[in-house]
Amino acid sequence: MLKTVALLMLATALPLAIIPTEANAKDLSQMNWDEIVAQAKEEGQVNWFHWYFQDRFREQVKAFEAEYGIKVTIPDGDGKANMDKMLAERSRPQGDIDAISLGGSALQTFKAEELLYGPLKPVLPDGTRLRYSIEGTDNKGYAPAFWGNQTGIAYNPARISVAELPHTLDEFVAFMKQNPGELGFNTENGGSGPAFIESVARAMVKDIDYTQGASAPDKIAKLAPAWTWFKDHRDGYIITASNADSVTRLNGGEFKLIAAWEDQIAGLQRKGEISNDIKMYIPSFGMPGGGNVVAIPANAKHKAAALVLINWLTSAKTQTEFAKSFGIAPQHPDADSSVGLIPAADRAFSTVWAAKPFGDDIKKAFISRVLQN
Amino acid sequence: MTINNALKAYLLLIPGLLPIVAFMSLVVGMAVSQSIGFFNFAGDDHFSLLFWQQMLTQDQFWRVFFYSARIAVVSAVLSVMLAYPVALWLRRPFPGSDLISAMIKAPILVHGLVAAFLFVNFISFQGFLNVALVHLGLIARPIRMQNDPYGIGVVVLQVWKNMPFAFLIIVGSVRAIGDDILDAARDLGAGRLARLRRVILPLTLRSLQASLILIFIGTAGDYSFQAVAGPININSMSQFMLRIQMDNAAHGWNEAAVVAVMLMVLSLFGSLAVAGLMQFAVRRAGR
Amino acid sequence: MTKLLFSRNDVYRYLTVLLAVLVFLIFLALPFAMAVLWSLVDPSHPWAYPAVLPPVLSLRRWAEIWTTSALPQALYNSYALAACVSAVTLLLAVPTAYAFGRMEFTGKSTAQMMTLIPLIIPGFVSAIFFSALLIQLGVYSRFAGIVIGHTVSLLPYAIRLLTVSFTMVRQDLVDAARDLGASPLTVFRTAYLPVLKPGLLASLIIVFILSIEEFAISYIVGAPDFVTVPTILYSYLGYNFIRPNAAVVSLILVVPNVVLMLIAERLLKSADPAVVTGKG
Repeated sequence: MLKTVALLMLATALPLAIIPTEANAKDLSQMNWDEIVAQAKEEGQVNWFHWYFQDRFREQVKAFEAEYGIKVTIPDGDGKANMDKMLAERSRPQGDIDAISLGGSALQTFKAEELLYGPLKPVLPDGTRLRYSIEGTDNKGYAPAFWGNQTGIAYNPARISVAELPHTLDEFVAFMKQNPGELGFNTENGGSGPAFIESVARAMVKDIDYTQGASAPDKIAKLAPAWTWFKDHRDGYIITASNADSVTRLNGGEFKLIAAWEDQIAGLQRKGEISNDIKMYIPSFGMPGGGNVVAIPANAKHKAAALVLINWLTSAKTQTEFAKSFGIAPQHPDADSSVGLIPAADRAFSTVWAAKPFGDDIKKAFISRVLQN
Repeated sequence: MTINNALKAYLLLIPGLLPIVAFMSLVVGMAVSQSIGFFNFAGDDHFSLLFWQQMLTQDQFWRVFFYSARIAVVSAVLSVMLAYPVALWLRRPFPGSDLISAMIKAPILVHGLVAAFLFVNFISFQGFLNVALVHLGLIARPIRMQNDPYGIGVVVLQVWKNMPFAFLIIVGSVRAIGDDILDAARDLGAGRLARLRRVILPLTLRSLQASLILIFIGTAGDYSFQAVAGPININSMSQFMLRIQMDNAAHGWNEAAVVAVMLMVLSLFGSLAVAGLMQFAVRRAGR
Repeated sequence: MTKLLFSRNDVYRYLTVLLAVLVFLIFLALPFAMAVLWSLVDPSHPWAYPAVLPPVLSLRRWAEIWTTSALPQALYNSYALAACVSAVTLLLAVPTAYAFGRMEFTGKSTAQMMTLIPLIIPGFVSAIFFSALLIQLGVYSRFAGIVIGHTVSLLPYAIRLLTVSFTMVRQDLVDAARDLGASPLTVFRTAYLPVLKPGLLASLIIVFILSIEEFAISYIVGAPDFVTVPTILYSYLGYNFIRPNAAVVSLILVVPNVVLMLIAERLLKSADPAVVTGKG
């Protein structure tokens, strides 16, 4: 008796639990934008998993919250942990993530159609004008870019003059010999150090196609000359703990040069966390630039609210504001261009990130072949 | 009465003991079975020693293993060596001794991460130590001490944090030694050193061993000190385990499980070995 | 003159006490003073090379962290967790501590050793494979996961402290109360409670503090979005390293716990049965 009651209850409850979410998903693509906004306001909240400057973004989204009455929660997780969570929750009917920021090339490591809701291109009002191809990765309209950034070398003019700055690999060697321990870059907690490592590898080892993400032991083995170069000059540079650690120690006068993100330096300067004197350039062998995209997981609970948030993030107005307060390269065609830290002439040296997962393996090989060896 | 009583006692043990035993055997069981290919998150479950073979043939693994072992031995021995004389000194109260033992215990109240932050802040390029040294004219330019390659910073932090625990454990046993025993030894003509070697050391051996074991285990499994203040060029066992689990998507869990089992092995046998050596040393000293 | 007032031993003693105070100042007070100084660096006036001292001091950073960081959420999570954990832990520990403290049975010392298992399993091993277990079981509630993890790893402390309290209860008082025909409740109130109270409160506070301070389980099970005060501090020391912010969070983590711990120590000192029962 009890068993049948329980079964009956389950039978009625299950479809009820499934139908609303399916109805939502179908409805969104058929709704016009006003209906989506109305639906978003009804949802009332959105969890945006974003991995840097969270405190600053909590300030920024106040404008969005005031405009739409939708509460934005930005948790403190790092990028890798956020992605792992999305992967771990893929089989859950409804996950905790409504919108997720991803590095432009992160979509090379998984299939957008399986994990993400969309494509967003036809749904967003300005969808067709936004950028979906970034860092050599075309995500086919699933994740618009909302953040453009560039890596480079930051220097402290209190410690080094413009004339002394190294631009070529040979000049870096000479610099490290004359100034041992004055160049800092990280391997963990951020991509600025890995950008430098990748750039040196790219300049030393030319017979690899860095646009192909496939990784194989013999492909990685080809990088050996780069590891010899780093090992030969091991006294010349210092490994820092994170992007932020490099910047803090440059600001503290410990280093003359560090590998850094332009947007991070600019963002910290506009906030007053670090000295406004710090400048940046791109060495002539190039350093990678790219950007970040924002997407909606397929099992997001507040899809409409996430859509409205993404529309706001990628809008010309918000992009202009981000350019002003973070120094990013704006990603909406109508937004005002940023006044960057890097001299305009150096922009020509910007390269595309090595495709993933090979790009990640370059960093791992550096750690095991140079650092832990 | 006794059987009934015993039954009652065992029933009373259930709420406290069962969760511990169940949880710990599940967790350790999970680690052991993932290390041999079961509960696989990627692909099929089947018995395999591949992960053990892959891990134990890696140079990097053994460097990490012996690095953690070294830090644990050095920290445990240093903490006990520092705590012991202080405990002897404070055996009998004197004006100011309460103040001193309160000050010694203070680091217990400071969270490990906070301690690591304070330490890194103190020795950083702009930190107090460097500023003071430069102003005293001892050095011309600040010295780089953060994340030193030998793990000195980690040992300093471990000793700073663990010395109070060693002190607490040892001071209890030192105070428990009756004055009559010491007086008797003195009457028999034993000098200061002989009293220490023949009476005090043997009587406090158990507490010395207990503090060595506790500190060794805590230090071998360290993550936060290593992550904040440790060398960049090498990981601790816990850090290595977490990095392997996160980096190697498919078999990360299995390889991390091998590291976990080896870390437990290190904790168990390493701490017992250190305790055994201490017993040997005390016996030798007493001869 | 000094020879009359102080013996040579006394002089040495004062010198060593002075030395100890000096060591304490260098190793604890000074670093804390530095943290306070860093936490007061004004957000719009960076403390950069070559300035020896921060150019402008203000409390603005404290206000800013309170309004823009996840710290309020982390404080709420930490304290809510700690409240649940200490209540559950105490409930589970009391019966077992009673058995250890007031009963004799075969296997008692083995059982007592077994309660110490959580202390010898490295924290990150239990954290990582507990999270693997949660994934296998499909448990997504981080709050519940952390409560379970904390409760198990802190049970040893509560059991140990309460066992000591239970052994301090005087059998003659219990017997006397029974002989006078007191109900079990009255026996508990008159013979047990006065002795147990300080121990109960102390273990409540100590488990509470240890739960707030626990890092491994909170970090691994809570990642990426369930934050507690230590995990937020860890992020401020790592990826989001901003020294002044880390200073603020450090002070917020340490100061309340020190106050609580001092209270707990008072309680444990007063747990002497002679004081409680008024008998010698």
